[in-house]
Amino acid sequence: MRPVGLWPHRRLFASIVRRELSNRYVGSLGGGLWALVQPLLLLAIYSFVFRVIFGVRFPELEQHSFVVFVASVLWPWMAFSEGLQRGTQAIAGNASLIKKVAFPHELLVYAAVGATFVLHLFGYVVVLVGLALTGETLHLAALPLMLAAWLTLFALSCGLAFVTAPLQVFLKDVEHILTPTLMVLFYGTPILYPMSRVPESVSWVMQLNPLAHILDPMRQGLLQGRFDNSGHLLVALLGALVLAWACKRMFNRLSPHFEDFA
Amino acid sequence: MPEQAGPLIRIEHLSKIYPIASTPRERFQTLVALLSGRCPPRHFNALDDINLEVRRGESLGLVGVNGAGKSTLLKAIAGVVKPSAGSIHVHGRISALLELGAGFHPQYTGRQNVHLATALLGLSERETRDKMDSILAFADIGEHIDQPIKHYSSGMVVRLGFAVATVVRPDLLITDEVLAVGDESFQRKCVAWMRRFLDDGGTILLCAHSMFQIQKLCHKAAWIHGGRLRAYGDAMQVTKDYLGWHDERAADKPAAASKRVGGPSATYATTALALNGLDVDEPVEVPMGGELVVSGRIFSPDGRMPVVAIGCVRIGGAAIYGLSSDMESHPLQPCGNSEFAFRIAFGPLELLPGRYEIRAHAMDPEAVRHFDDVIRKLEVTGATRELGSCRLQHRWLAPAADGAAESSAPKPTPQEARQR
Repeated sequence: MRPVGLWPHRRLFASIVRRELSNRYVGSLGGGLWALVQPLLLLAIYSFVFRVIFGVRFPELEQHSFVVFVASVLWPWMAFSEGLQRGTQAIAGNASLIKKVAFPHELLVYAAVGATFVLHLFGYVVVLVGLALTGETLHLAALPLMLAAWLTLFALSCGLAFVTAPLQVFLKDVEHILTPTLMVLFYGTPILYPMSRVPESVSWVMQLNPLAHILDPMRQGLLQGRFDNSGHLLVALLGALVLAWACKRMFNRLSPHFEDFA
Repeated sequence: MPEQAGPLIRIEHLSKIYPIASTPRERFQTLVALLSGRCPPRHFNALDDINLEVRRGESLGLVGVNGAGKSTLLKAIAGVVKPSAGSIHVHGRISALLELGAGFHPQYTGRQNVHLATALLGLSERETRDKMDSILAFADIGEHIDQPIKHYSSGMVVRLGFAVATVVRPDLLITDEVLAVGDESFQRKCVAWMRRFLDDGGTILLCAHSMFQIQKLCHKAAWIHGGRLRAYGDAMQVTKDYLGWHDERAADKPAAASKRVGGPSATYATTALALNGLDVDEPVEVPMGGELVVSGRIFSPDGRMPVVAIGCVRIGGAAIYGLSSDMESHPLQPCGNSEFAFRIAFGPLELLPGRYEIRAHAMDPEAVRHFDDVIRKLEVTGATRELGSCRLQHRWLAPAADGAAESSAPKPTPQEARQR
């Protein structure tokens, strides 16, 4: 985490990010719009299953719809989990570059995670604006909180990718572990339900999940204008930064060997 | 390029260890070892305690058998490989052409790929825009530049790769046998660019299996063997020693004792070369139409009969004529001391007055490789108003009676025409 050291490589970084973004949609007619389709579809499915079929209703929704309740944290979650997955492949997937050109390898991780975040942040804004236009009340006062939450997720995603990306270079098992882990984490994080609905007997386990302390305050702030657990988010932010720093050290230790193993 | 004290590159005690891990289990053990800072369980030394300096303007060639560590050393200097021990100090801008078109993405157009490639080379957006025209001009692939690279022929990809490399003005150019790429005319372009780069004071560090390239382009050579620096010094000497080592190895099993009579060099070499009996550095004068006798001796390290190649070039390098003794199956005369003598007469000399070089090359008995390049100067004297380098046999003819300009040769008789 030495941004000063990376400053001379800013143009290279920009090029890699641009390529990351266009790599995903190069040759497709829809381009970046496809980034919006998957979360939108998920949102539609959850709404249909939980609201229409199960008839789910809980007081925490207050005047809000289930759609906006899920949407307010679905995009941040998508950015985090997809960012981590892309970041995991960032080194192994760019072996040809690493073997032939000298440059700081962490740029690849930042670019893979960053590009994913840019896409989903854009989708998030579009969806929220759309929902606001349909009459949902959103609290603009939550803006600083939202930014802090996105930053925390980015640090967390990068930090974890700093561990998984080098491991993936050595052991291909990582991606196979990561996919089911993220699936469990999705249902173990208050995305489809509020934290307050979790029974006392299991809530202590869920409190260990840092994502709960990022996404829950985010939703409360945006939908209800309540900031009583923003402190949790601040702790999560500091924790994510420390984690990223520690993971970066491990990354640095393995980075000289990427050229050999990637 | 600013003059700087001290070497361009200083390598001190450079070592590189590569872990050996083929199975996932071994990879895991290696990972654990690397993380805990221990030495991996199985490894090999790709580079072992290399000490080397490259000075400005003193191009260096690396020689050695496959797997000796040449490419690893180049990559280490380029920064792609991190040393396991020791240090590399670089003063100046390096550009590494380890692979032309490295990082090109097949889905993108040539132009888009140029942008990423220049970013990798450290150029700014503005510099890239300024140099785009000269890149396109050098690559000369026309409209294809806006096509995805996947539609390119492999030749076009390397042309574009080389063109990108030409826009940076590095102090040191590192290249791994990619000097001449593409078709004949593009190869000439590459070589011309290379020569200009060297003339402008550039330094190259190259790894090649062609001793000729190394002798031509480099002042110094380093022989890497088994990850260690086996010899370093004058490019001519090191490449000769290296080739000698190969010959020794090839001849090692049969009659190891009978070969190597000794002598300063262990390879085929031209030990004497005289024009009309004069073995001197000054130009030897021969009148136009006179006779030129080229004589000399070739040393053979293994006692087998070598081949001599003799050529005549104009000052400035234009080749006029060349031949080698094997073309006409002419045997060289053994003259003791593992030397073989030759003597050849040219004449009457049809060269026009002016300065020429007579070159002799010692070649192996198979006439595959040539080992040296010994030059004597020739001055052809005389006065004539003819143009060019040499006189062509000619005679003026009376124009044909029917005035048909094209039929200067006698027309075939009807019988001859039928027979054809």
